[in-house]
Amino acid sequence: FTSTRDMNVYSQSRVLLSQWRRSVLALPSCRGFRENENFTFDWDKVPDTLEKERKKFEEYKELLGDAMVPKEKMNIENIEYTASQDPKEWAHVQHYMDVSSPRFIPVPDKDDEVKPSGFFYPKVKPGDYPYFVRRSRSWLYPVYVREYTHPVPNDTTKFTVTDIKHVDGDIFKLREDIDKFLYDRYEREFIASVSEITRKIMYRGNVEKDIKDFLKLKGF
Amino acid sequence: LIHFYKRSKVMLAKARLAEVLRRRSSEFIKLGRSASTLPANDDQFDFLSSFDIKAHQARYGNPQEVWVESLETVQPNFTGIRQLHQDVFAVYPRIDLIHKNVVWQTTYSKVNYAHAKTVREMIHYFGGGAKPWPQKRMGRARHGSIRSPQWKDGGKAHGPRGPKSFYHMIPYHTRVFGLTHTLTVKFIQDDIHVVKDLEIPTDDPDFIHEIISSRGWGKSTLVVDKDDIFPRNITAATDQIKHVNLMPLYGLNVLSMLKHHTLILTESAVEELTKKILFALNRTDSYARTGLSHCGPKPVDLKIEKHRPVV
Repeated sequence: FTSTRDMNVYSQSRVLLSQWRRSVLALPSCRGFRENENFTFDWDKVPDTLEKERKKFEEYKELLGDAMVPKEKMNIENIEYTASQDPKEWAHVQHYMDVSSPRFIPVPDKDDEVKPSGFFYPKVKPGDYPYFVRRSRSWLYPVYVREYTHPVPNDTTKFTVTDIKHVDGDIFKLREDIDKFLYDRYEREFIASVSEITRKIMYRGNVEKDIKDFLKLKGF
Repeated sequence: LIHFYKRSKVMLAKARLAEVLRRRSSEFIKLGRSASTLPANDDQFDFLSSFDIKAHQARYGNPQEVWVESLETVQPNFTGIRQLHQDVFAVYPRIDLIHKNVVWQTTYSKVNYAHAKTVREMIHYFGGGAKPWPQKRMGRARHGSIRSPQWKDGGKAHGPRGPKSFYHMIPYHTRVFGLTHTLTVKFIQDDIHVVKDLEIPTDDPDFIHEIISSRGWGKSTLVVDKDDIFPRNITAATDQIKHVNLMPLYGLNVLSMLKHHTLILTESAVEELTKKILFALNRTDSYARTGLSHCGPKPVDLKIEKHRPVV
């Protein structure tokens, strides 16, 4: 199991945080090194004793002062407003409505630079390699992790599967290249199956990050 | 004893049918347009102008090209070449998706009206709630009514109960993929012809018979244009021919495409079709707009629409 859906607090079959962490950190690629600035809470910077923490909070309160707690209560529910029927003013409203709930994701810039989050526009075009992995509609990699359950109800085999979708061209060559890449990393072979009609490769285990590294190296 | 005089909580056949139709009426009315179209809320949204087709990537391989013909002459008349988008006309074809769409189209409007009356219903309509003869001393079998299942003209104990509808909806994206996969199959098999206009010199049906025989089009043809109003000559000519049918783009569906041997699209229809399907494949609000409850698709109502100026 690896999906964050099972972390839902309100589901009956809730998995403990420790179990989730143990399963996600099974592979060395998930541990240790920092890739970006997200999730950088440092426990070493938290003060040791209660008194030190209290001092720190009082200093913080002095800086901001009364900005934390407003004196007047905001009347949100019964605000007096007048609605105008001017089409020019409505154009601004329409703009915000379109921007807040977009019907499709806008196309990102075609620059060669890599953005701070690690995103880049695909550098490779169909034809450079014998295969081509198309991005999803949100311009991300089509690599997904799921739990496999046997369709027959009495059979209780369960394991995680990573799917690679939207593969055009020679799928079997892509599978060979990924096998080599994973063997170089882990010195171990991974079980995979190719579905030519649905244009998918399915690997056993959570190799999502490794496949995304592979695709980034190639430039898809 | 059978207490037929008590008000029964079980619905009788007429009330049940009315209930079913009332519950499903909204769905049937919405399905009147076609099997595979966008919901009605999208008419106001002008996505065609803001959607950049070239930026959305094409597939591996060369783009598909097709001749553009004209129907002015009987002999084949090619006026140009047109490129077709690969996400619409060059998909890896999957027959199971086509099959799902065909099965859905044939069965979603099917209603099984078989209904067998129970003992209570037989008594209600035809009488016989009284005990036919006393329990004892008659030398006959003991019975409570003449409408029990073992009697002739009696009720049926476990028979078909009421009209049963086979209405069901397949997901939005399987319907979209159904269109794309049938179009690719048609294109691969050389059954798609793109036409510049539907202008014909005469309104004679023989002209169309000659066109079909000279160009090698199949036994039945489906002509698709963007709007519902077609030119006069072609409507008059094809009016009497049953295997040549005219259809607007919003009526395009998988079953019609498979039933007709050839598919003829106008250039404007191809443009609109690619734009609509690319939007359908790349949209992000499909959960909100196409989510189904038992009453039909959910409409998205905003309170701010009250203040929209009337122009």
